[in-house]
Amino acid sequence: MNFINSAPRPVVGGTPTSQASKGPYLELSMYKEVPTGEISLEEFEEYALDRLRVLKAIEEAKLRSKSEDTIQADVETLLKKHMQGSSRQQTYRKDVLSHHILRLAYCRTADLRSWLLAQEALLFKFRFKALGRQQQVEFFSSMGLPYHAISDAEFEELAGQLAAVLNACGEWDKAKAVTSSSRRGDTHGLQDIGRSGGAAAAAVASRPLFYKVPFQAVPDLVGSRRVLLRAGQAYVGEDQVYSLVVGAFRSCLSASLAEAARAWGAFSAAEADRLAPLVDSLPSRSVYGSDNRKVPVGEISAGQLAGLVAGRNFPLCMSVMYERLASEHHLKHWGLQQFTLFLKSIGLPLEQALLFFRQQFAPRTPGDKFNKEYVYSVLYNYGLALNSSYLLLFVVCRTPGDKFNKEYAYNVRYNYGQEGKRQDWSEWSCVKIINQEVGGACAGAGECNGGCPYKTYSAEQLRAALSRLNCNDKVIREVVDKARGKHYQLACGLAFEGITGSPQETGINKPSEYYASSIELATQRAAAAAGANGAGEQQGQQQQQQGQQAGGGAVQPQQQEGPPQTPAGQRAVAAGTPA
Amino acid sequence: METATERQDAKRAKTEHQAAEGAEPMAVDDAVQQKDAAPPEQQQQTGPSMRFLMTQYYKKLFPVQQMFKWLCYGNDSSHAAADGSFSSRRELCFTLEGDIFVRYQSYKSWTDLATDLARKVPSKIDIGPVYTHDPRQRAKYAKDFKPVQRELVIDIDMTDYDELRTCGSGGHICSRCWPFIAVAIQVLDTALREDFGFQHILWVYSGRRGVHCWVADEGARLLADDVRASVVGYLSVIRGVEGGMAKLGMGMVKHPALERAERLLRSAWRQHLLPEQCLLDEPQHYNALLQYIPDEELRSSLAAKWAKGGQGIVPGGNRRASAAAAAAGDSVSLSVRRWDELEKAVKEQASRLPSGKAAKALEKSLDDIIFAYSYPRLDVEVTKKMNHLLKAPFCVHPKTGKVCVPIDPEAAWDFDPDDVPTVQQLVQEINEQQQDAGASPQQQQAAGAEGWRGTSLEPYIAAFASSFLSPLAASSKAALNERAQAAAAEQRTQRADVSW
Repeated sequence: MNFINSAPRPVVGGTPTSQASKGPYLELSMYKEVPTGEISLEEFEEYALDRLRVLKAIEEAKLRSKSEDTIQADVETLLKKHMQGSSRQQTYRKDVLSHHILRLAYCRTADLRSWLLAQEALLFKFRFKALGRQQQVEFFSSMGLPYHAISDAEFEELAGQLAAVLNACGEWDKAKAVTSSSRRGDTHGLQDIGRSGGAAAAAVASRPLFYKVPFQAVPDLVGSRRVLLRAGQAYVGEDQVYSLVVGAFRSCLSASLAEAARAWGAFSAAEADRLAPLVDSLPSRSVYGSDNRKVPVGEISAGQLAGLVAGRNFPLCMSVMYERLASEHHLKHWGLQQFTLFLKSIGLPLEQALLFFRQQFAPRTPGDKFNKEYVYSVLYNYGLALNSSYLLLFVVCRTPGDKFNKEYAYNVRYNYGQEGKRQDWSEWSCVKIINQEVGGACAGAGECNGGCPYKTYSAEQLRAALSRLNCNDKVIREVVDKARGKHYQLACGLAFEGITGSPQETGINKPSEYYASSIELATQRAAAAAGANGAGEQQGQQQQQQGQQAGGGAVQPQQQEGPPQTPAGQRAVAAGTPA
Repeated sequence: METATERQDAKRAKTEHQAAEGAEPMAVDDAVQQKDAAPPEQQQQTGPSMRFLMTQYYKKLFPVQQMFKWLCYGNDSSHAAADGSFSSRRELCFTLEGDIFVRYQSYKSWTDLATDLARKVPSKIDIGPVYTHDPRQRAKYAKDFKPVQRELVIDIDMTDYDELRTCGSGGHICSRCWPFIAVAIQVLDTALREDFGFQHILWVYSGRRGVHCWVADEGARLLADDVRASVVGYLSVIRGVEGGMAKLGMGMVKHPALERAERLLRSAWRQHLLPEQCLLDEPQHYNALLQYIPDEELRSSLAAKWAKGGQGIVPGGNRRASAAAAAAGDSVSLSVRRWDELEKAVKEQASRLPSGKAAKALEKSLDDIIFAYSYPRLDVEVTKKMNHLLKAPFCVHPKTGKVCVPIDPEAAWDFDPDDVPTVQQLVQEINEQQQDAGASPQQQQAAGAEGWRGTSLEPYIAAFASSFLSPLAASSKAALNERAQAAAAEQRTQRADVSW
């Protein structure tokens, strides 16, 4: 990995493998040569994260079982958005460098390696398929794979079965092409050209070419029964050679990753102060950087929380914790951390947080407990100094027997940056929540300790919890499947779709993103409804309320306006006061 | 008697010790006594008695030499290219009494294995992969320790057919549900041989309600996990069951492999599955089957017609008798007659449909039924991973006492799971042999090595040796020769390089 070498070298890149006409971002490389040259630290990080954005988007599309064609289109957009440089050279350089940086970053454990291998192979496949036929054949023959096209005699013998396979795949036209050329029998001499492989054969071919390869070389075609198999040999059509190419790419990358893993020790020793920590942290970095959607700006009040929960705007993890808190008047330490930081991130100011928690903890914990212990924590988390308004708050709370203050307020204030290190703690990401050990006294329930319910809940509990949120039954099944498959964030995204009736496209990496999407959707719907109905009086009111929230003014608690009906209606209730 | 009781109550080690000392006659008496003993005591004695039988089984009946030879693939020979460490890199896993799993066992020679079997008396042996290193020293190699080869295995379990079977469910298996298994063997065996080109395929009865398939070709043993998964994908059609209906992964036009499967399934369907399973006799069964017909009117008219009709000629009758009746043609079973009605009705209805597409879809529903009911249902996870353990052939099923005997795929239809020898029966057979012969201790010892000769296990072991082991040995030897030649060629080039 000597691209970190400081000695001046020729510019990275070399010659692109093929002269793709479709656009520079499609140029393909097998990444066999390690690039050399200079790269700034900023570029180093930016390139890696940009590539990760592409790979993660492809992974997600695949897990959401999007069709191949959709993903194919997605990939082109993604590459344009994240990987295109100012010139062809630059694009190529970015592609090669980012690949090699990730190769290094993902070489350390078997899990990381297999993740990168799978995603890179997918990306490679889609990029290869985007090439024109001519370019595909050129690329294929440039690889020097030891596969030969079948002879005329063999083609004649198998034409019927080859056509049957194509028909079974729904490739009617190609099947017709096979049967008609077998009848014509006008492909004399093709065998030799086929053997020489490559462009010439494809150009001259008047019948479809088939390559005979060991079935091990094309597992994806075999697994989906898209090839004819005879005695261990698969008959791969010319438009299926991508499978062979991707197979070769995979094994090449797999070997390189293993090699990188061996070299890691030396690299991390040499780069301990510079690149090693950066590279090491890449796999756990969130690729959704500053350009990420923002939580609706503006504050919300303690009084609005009940409405937001009733309006099903909270992700499941937070809504179960809210319910737990409302019924048990209690949360364990980690649950409280997770929940407070979420509330903070969606715009609940410290004093409102203290008010909210004091109310929630109240029935079981007399007021002095709150003051002594929780208020401090709340202040801490908000990163605020004690000023007059908080003193006032203290005065309000410091009633005899205030247990809340004693036990919990410190934590809340801590989370708001008002105690201890006075750090402005950010919200827990889904990854952190999922990896959170949910042990302890109420581990069985999970709620009061926080954690991700898609991970901690049994299928039964999950079903029950989701149907309480009026999630569509069909979606519940899919969610449970996803959760069982350990795709917790995807399960959450699906649940969003089941609950709101509208897909969540951008993925959920923090609980607040779920909230943001939900609010955004409700706002859109309210606006649409208002527009359609000529802005009826009630809807106008709703919009006003939302406008207030979005605008940043704290909404004063209002009286609840009756049971929520539509998402838009529910949104309006958000301003209601908890009973 | 007293000594016998004492022995049972004593610790395992003592039993082993005494058995090892050659106290067979007494021990045998003991076993016989147990059989005659009053039923209430029987249950308490099951544990020790099974252990005793298993001790006998491993000592005299289990074909340890043949099994070991198989798992070595010629590497136990003195061949120049043989890999001496091969057998000690193969994991065996023992299940001891009380479901104690002892993983990562490995053996240098068959005698080591025989000794350990006699000592540990596992209630089950599982075969794992061959690793890069001896699995007993896996800690030493930590990162580098990984599986490098393993037979391609397939597991079919009757429980996956529970919603189809009309004769029982769960652990149940009988000659009436065997057709599901027999046709599965036929379809898969053909695909493995014709499509994948494998030759060394061993089918084994799992001892209770399923079968295992071991593909031992070198090419199969070296398959990577993702390729194993692709083989599973190629062989599977049923993608899950939803609302009592199997979801089928096949379109209007079939892949040649499925065309071939359909031919096999169709003949089995009329000859065996319909008459033996009586799939269309009872309302709850035919209603489930009719679900696959997309035409509501057709469904209800057939159901109404059948509800009026009486019972079959041989409802739930004996499998062979019923099959024979079907073959004779004089008294076609009710289910077969109803299937013919269904087929005719569907075809007529299809011909009346204005759109060719709808007609095809309706006709396809007949295929769907046949595939949903009789296409092999695999336990896919077993096949996908190289390091999945699978029960060894010739084990004794701890619950049924049946030996996991090989099945000849050509004669899968004639296999009867109820005819499989049990450990109880086999131990009794050796005792009788010995008593008849009045054998001298010396003869007994000679018999000890291959005590299965003359028992009802012999034909199975003989078949295992002749149709699986010997062709495999020939292939293994050829592979070793090739390797030796390649090595020699390499050496020559190296030498040539040096002389340059």
